[in-house]
Amino acid sequence: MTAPAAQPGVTGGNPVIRRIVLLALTVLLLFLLVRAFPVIDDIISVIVISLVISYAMRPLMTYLERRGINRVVTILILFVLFAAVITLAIAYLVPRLIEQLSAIGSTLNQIDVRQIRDSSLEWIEQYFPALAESLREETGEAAMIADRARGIVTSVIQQSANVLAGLVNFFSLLSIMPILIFFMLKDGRLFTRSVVARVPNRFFEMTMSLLYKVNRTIGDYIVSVVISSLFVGATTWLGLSIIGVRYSLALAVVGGLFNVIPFFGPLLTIVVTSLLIILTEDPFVLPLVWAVIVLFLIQQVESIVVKPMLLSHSMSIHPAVVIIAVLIGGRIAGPIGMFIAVPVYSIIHMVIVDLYQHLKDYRII
Amino acid sequence: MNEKPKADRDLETMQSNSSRRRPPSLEWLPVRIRDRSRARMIREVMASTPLFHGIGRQDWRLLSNLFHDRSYEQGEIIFERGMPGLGMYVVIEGSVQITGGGEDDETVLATLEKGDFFGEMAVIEEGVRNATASAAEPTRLIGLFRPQFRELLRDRPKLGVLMYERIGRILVERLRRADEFLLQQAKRMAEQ
Repeated sequence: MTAPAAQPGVTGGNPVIRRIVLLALTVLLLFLLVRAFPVIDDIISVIVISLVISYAMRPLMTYLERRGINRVVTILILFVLFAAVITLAIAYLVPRLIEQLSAIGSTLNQIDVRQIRDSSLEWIEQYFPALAESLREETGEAAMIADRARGIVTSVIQQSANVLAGLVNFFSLLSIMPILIFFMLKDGRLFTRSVVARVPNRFFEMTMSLLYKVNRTIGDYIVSVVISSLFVGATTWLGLSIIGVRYSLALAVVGGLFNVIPFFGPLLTIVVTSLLIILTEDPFVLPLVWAVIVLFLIQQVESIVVKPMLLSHSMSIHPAVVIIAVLIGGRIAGPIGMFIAVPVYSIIHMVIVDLYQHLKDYRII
Repeated sequence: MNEKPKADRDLETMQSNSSRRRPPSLEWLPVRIRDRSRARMIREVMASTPLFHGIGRQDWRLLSNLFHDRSYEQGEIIFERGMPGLGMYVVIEGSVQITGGGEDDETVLATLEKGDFFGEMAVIEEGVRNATASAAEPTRLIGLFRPQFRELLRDRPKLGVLMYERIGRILVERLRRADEFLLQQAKRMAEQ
């Protein structure tokens, strides 16, 4: 229904179609640029990382601004805090982490798989003699597989070194990140306003509402992922240190990173921790049981207490979708892609749901 | 919707002029002067509404960051009945027609001119629009929206509460008028 004077065609379909075509062409051009010049990949990564950090900083910025502190001063305070945290991490955590990772690497290289096989078989012969004979036939093949697995682990560690070398190149681009983050925090709203100002009147209120909702959804999601991963990482480090697991820091980093992958992340953390304890601790049964209990408790607290406190509504993703997203992420952007696949999928999913709802509410579709 | 203390003589003159012809173009002026003139004009018109009357300079600067300046062609729809409401608009130049009291009803309920505002219920409540608003002539509006009002309430509680209190008063006044109207109607019906 329309007003008598209403002539929706005054702004006309043409300018709208022109804008849509322009937008599509811009996206296409960006896509072609990314394909043509791989360096743009890095630039986009820097922009995305800056955006994530600025989103993570926003709640603190709002908190300080509410206390009457000027925005620029607030951002500078946040920068000092951030720099202090990074410096502490580099000075205290990174050397220990490198030490533990290289210790894990050399321990894995020293392990004699055949010796493990023989001692395991001895143990089985002692308690389950009936099983031992059939197992002895199959373990020859199993030992070969285990040898190959060790090769894979070694190559993964080497690959990690390559990734780190790549990161060094990436660091040259990182120098512009503080500038980007500064302007994202300072002028984020101005940017949104200038985007909204270019939207045709017909879509104006919808765009305003959509931008606000999407902005809040992404902000809440990023903050929740960052805080819950920090929680899992810190408690894993503390818990495993208390029960005396040797590589607690390296496992805490693994736990924090895997935490971004729903369902399988926590499971993978338990699998990796268990394998490492079996291979490096002697005797391993008691530390293994304790570590599994600790990790299980941490995951329960994280999913029952921490996540619901940070996100009012959690998004349910089907496990099959998680696997597909992780595989696609890995295919597109390697190991980093595997970690960011689910958060990126979640954000895209939430944006599409919001967009669809708004298009329906405003009778555009 | 005609809830405003009328502005001074100059504003009334400008208003009567605006209803006769297109809003005066400032395009020929240098950008800085043009922007300043626009900002001054917006402030004059906004200050004539009960919502922004007597707002201090510092608060004004904060509030003006929330404003969205929109221009509409004659007949262009600003919002439609039944669509989600997001905020309110103040008429800066031109005029706006409010139509429809029911489904497919195109009765003109009100014509709003410079300094009038409409849609303020949407600032308080997440409901749907109960009328359609369209530009009766080339029109310029300032839009203020719920998300920003909420941010204002969160970030600058004192100013936010003042704004919500003023909107509340306007709505209460309208409710009172509606009650009086209904009472008169009921009395008239009882007498008949």
